[in-house]
Amino acid sequence: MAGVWFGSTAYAQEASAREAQAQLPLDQREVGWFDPTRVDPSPGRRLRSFATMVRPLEGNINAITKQGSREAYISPRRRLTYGEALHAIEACSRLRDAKEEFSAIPLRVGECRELVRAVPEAYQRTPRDPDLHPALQDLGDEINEDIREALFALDDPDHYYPGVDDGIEPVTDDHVKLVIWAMQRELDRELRPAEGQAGMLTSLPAAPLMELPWHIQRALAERRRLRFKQWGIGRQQWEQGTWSLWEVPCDADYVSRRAARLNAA
Amino acid sequence: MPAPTTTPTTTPVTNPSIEPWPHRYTDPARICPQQRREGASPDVEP
Repeated sequence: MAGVWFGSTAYAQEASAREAQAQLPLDQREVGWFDPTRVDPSPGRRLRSFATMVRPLEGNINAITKQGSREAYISPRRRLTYGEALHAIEACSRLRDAKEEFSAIPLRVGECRELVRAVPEAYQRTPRDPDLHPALQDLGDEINEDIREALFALDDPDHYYPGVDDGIEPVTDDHVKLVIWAMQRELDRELRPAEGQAGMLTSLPAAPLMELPWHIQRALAERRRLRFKQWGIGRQQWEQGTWSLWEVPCDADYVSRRAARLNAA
Repeated sequence: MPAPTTTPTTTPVTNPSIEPWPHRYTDPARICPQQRREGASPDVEP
């Protein structure tokens, strides 16, 4: 009986600690308390990406390791915050190996047979296409927010939706078509019920991106190129299939648009 | 004695021509996290 009581108390304490930590911005939050599946408006472009990749070492709550690894990067005497852990790896010469590991992270996860350079003539739908590394969830979310905002043009042809004039290489018409095809490929894959409804019987069809006005399609492709650049990813990283955390700007004030929108709702 | 009356029931109807897009199509921001990462299509150049 005592064991049950102790167990439930420990569980309640952990739940309480989790909630308390979740209220803190990531730079003040202890490593281990970031849950990327929750809506979390905590700021910091590089910090959010970093927080997805590290966790406490099993058996030593103070030590910090990378997801999927059993070797500690840092073994401090007290539990560090995400801000402290990132700063240590950025600045400490003894952590050079750890820093190096974060400089060549896979860009794509899942099966990627080949890079797609043109709209395939006979596309065979696959069970899964490559997705971004989980530490690039914010990048994926920003692109989905851009798609979401573009869709208002389906109802309003005068919808204000600017593209990107400066700071990116010009996007060709063929590339706009390729990007829209690729986005549609993924939208077609997963359908959801409308807001407030439940059950897959009420699933809505995928939004038809090709019905958007051409200038909106173009703006969407330009924004996508900009979003990748905002995470330090251009053609070279795409060809190599790797990205570096150190090329993601620190951008301490950055807040995920999706998290901000859902948190305010 | 008056005959019992029946309240007419109306079935809600969705009119695709007047419903806003989030009621007509799946909202890309509501799909699952992995699917949102797939939506970035990393096999296609930025």
